[in-house]
Amino acid sequence: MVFSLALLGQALVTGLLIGGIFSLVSVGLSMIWGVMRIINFAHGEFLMVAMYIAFFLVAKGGWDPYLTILVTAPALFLIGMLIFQLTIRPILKDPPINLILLTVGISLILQSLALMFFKADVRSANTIYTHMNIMLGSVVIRGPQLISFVGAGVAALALYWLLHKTDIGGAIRATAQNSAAATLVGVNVRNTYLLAFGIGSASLGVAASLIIPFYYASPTVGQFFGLIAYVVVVLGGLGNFLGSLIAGLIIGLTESVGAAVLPGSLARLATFGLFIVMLLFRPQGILGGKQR
Amino acid sequence: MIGLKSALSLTALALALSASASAAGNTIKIGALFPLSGDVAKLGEANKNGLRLAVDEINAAGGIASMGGAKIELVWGDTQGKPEIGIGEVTRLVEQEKVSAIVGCFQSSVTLPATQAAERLGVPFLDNIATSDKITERGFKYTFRICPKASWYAKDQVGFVKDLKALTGKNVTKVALLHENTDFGESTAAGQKKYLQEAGIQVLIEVKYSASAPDLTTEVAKVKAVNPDVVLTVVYLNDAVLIARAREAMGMTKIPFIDAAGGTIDPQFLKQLGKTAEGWITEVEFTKFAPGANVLNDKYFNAFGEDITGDSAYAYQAGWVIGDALQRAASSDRNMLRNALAKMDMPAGKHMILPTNHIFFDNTGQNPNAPLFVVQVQNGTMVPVWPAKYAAKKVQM
Repeated sequence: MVFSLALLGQALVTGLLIGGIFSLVSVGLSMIWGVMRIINFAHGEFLMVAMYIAFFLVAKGGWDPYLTILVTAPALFLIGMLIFQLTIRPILKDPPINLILLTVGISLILQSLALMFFKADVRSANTIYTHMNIMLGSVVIRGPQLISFVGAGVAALALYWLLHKTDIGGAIRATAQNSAAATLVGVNVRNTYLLAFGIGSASLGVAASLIIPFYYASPTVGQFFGLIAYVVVVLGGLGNFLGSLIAGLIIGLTESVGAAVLPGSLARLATFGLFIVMLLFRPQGILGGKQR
Repeated sequence: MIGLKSALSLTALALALSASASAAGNTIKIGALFPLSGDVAKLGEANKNGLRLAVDEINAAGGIASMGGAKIELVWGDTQGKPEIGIGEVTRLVEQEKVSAIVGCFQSSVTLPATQAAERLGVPFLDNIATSDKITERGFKYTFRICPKASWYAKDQVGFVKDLKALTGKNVTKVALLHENTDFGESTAAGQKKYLQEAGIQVLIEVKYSASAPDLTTEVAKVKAVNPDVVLTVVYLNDAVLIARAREAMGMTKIPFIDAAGGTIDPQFLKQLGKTAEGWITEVEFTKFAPGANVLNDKYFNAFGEDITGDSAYAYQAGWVIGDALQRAASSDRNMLRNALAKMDMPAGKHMILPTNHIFFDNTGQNPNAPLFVVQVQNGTMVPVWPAKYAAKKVQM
């Protein structure tokens, strides 16, 4: 086993930067749960769809990857609302198992469609940002990862502002706390559900555009990010906004430091080990129970 | 009634035709079994095309001389990439189509049971490019394999590393292993460790990762920290891209990264990485830049619109091996053909596409002479640098 300060420094930097993306990917899932008690098992596949949009705009349209947010975020907002309206809304009052089966089904359909249209090829865009690196001593900071971290922070702040300083946000939070009471004070719960689902999906559009300069699109890419997102959301406390942000960073750091100090392929074990420990000893999540 | 009548007359016609064909002795049926539909159909197609090119060449040159110029007729079977269908197709080819031998069937998972069925039915089975070590390690009498075993990819990797001193003056004494953690990476790495130990080269660290990881900077940093002479990798495509970018970012381009014919041989590796791929070294079964290879590659390209790949190269070779065995057997009898294959000794010459002096089969049915080419990315193309005899360029460090 090798261990050095330089390696640990590298692991911390990489873990923190990747963790930022985990946070952004998870926050929409958490919000959707908070508002309407749905775990969207197609969450990762929504991200996959957005990554393909971003990839093709960059690779075929010559777009700057970060400008593609202008397309991916609205596109996912609309796709999210459309799928909610057509499939989820009609069975919203059904037992939770139906919603799980439905969203798992949607995820399989999206994966199969991607496989049909784009084949199993992985597609990564070679952008001008891809080769930007900053050296801090012997620690390298990958340019696109730094940008994605900052971008994820800005997006999280914007989402926070939307939830806490606007009427829509007020309606969403009110619905999350008590949908019956929200209805009584004049909140249109049906529309709020729709908007919340759209906004949660749109955050994936932003994430996809931030990820594409350093990662790749493939039909199965959503499985990886989806799994991470479920872990992050549970770790942060279901429906807890700030909890998801912090948990994303923790998972990023755990994966990266785990890869640095653990031998063989035990890095994943660290992440899921942490997850199981949390479920056993603090099932409400790190910030769960205090705030929602 | 009419239906029955016409069916009967068709059967009679078919019987008459097949009787006349065997009487004149002018076609020999060879089964060609590949995944022609399903997930890997595109790769099955490459196998099919390579075999077809060789058989067309043999037939155009007058067929099998010892059998009065008999022509080879390929009878296609489709495994769909599924083991159970592969077994069914072997049975159909043997019992209904009456083939003399079968060539196939690209995927190890399908070839393992398919060769078992062929063994039971007593029909020679020529494996062109399914690499699982086990295929020729079961004591079968009717299974023959042209291509290298999977573990030989590691053997040639290490062979190349040992030759680096002679080629470039770089004496490699310590290496790092970096590989993905499924069966592909683990089994190749087991081979690497075995052959490195035999060569007296020290393994400083073995870093394993999941190929779906979003970033591999930390893993590459771990390799960098031990300062190896070279890094041996086993990668898929997406992780290869992440590793290559991390290697560049961390200023490790002076340390050669040598892959074992994984994701690095996908054309997308060069396409997605551009200059970042420069200097990467990997193994291939075929390269059009090897001396003399371009003639055949041009012919193949004109026929099928693609370059020859490892799959089509070994399928092409299988066609000529069958032709050679038929010539010596002078019979379409399965056992005589089997014995002719066992005594195969095909010298290098115009029908040899592999970087070797001659092809023969040892008593397990394995061709021991199946070296790989080692290629390096130089100025955006993968040029052969090893074995020295077939190199087009020198290795650059």
